[in-house]
Order: sequence, then C-alpha cells, then structure tokens
Amino acid sequence: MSIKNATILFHFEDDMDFNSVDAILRNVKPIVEQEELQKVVAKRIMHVVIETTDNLFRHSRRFHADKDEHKLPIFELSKDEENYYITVGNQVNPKEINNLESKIESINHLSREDLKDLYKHTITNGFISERGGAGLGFIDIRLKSGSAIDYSFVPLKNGNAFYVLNICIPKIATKELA
Amino acid sequence: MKNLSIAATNTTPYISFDAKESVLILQGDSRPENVEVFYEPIIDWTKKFCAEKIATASTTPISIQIALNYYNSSSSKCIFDFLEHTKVLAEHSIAVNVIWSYEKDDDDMKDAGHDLQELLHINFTFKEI
Repeated sequence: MSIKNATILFHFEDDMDFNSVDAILRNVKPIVEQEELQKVVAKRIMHVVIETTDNLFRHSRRFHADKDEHKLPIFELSKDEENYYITVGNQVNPKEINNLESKIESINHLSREDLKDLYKHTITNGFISERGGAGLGFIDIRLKSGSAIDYSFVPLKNGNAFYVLNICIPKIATKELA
Repeated sequence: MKNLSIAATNTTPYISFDAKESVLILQGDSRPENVEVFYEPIIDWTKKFCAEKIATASTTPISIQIALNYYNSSSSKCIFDFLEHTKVLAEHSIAVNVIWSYEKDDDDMKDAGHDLQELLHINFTFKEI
C-alpha cells in the first residue's frame, strides 16, 4: 500500500466520518507547514488532502459495518527526496470498477489544455451528485498534482474491492503534467 | 431585503451579504459536510437580491469580495453557480465586480479566479493579500 522507500509522515486507518476528515486535516496541516515548502506546493498538498479525504468520507460510508482487517479506509502522507505522496484507500462495489477506471484513465491521458477544458465544461454543465460530488475531483487532483493518478483495485474476500489511489506531488512546483 | 450573515466555521466560509450596500463577502475555507445544504440559502438570497435590484431599477454596483483559503471541488461548483446568478444584472446595466483575493505566491488560487472570469464574463479585480 505504501510508496516504496518513502518516509511515512502521517497514517490513518479507521472508519471515516466527517470528524475523521477534520482529524486528518488537523494533523496533516502542521506537518506540511513544517516542511518549509514553496507556498504553492504546500497548498497543492493540502488541496489534494482535502479532495481525497472528502472523497473517502463520501464513498466509504456504506461500508462502515465491515471492520475486517485491511478493509478500513486508509489515508497516508509520505515523501521521498523528490515528491510527496498521498495514498487513500476504501472499499468499493466491484460494479463501480469499470466506471472509475475509465474515468481515471481518460483524465490521465488528457493534456493540460484538454483537462482545463473538461474542468470548465463540467463546472458549467455539471450538477452536485447524490453523494455530494461535482464530478471535478479527479480533474482537480490531476491539475494540482501535475502527475498521472496511480490506482489499483484489490479483490476482497467479502466480494468488494479495495480501491487505492496514489497521488504524487513534486516538491518543486511545475505547471507541466507528468 | 434582509442581509445574510453566516459565521465562519473550520469547514464553511464567513458570509456577509449586505443588500443595501450591495456588498457580498465570502471568505475562509469551504468544505462543508453537505455542500448543497450550505450553499442553497446563499444562492436563494442572491437570486432574490438580483431580482430586487432589477425590479427597483437600482444602479448601485455590486461588489463581490471573495477570499478563499482552502475549498473542495464541490464548493467551487457552488461558488460558480452563485456567481452565475449575478450575470442577469449585466443585462440590466447593473455593474458587478468580483474582487478575488489570493495569498502572495498562491498562483493556483489566482488561476482559479482567472478561470471563473473567463467562464462567467464578469469583471474581476485581482488582489494579492
């Protein structure tokens, strides 16, 4: 689950409710501030933390009852010499895999200009979904991090899948997409 | 028309909408537990405010002062919708000016304002704080 050779700065693994999101942000913010980064990089990290924990909260509530080991939602912040990494994981229904995969893949393959156009189209024509999302999360994460969104789905014995996202944010700010 | 005031929390912004002065202030963090529940009264107020400005043939320009720190993507959709409702005023020659504040060196926040300006065709003034 963790990034190879990266130092873990913060790890959370528990049920996610709105208080957990707050707890993660309260803990992560001073850690990021201590890293003495360019302002834009520190803000990008916090922005991705907010977006990913918001998603965890909105999409993992349905699986609260299942407390088996390795199935609780996770959040982790880590770093190596060049990058910061945000790793989040939660259970999903296998029926959601194709949709998630095609969404992330299409976003990973767009240029910055096309992503900006998709962002503008979605914010203009989209709506807030039942789960409280605006369909902008992946686009925003990709634009802010500049990196392709790394993801995996691990089948679980209970029939669900464990869905993991790894977001890489370079220590040196760039507007180029990796 | 009554003013709209909402105190800031660690997840929702400070809202101070003054109908008489035509000054609408939104500042702080925005990542509400339920984004629609939080922004619905703000958008409703804005619709009524704009309708009243038009009905009374008011010429006082609107100043919308936005100073965001952190916000999630669903909040950005709601802020877009809120601003979009003020576009009707331009058709009635009522000036709308958005003052978009951002911290020094926070290029992403400045860019977010430029994106909104380009999409909405509203007058934006950028202010480094």
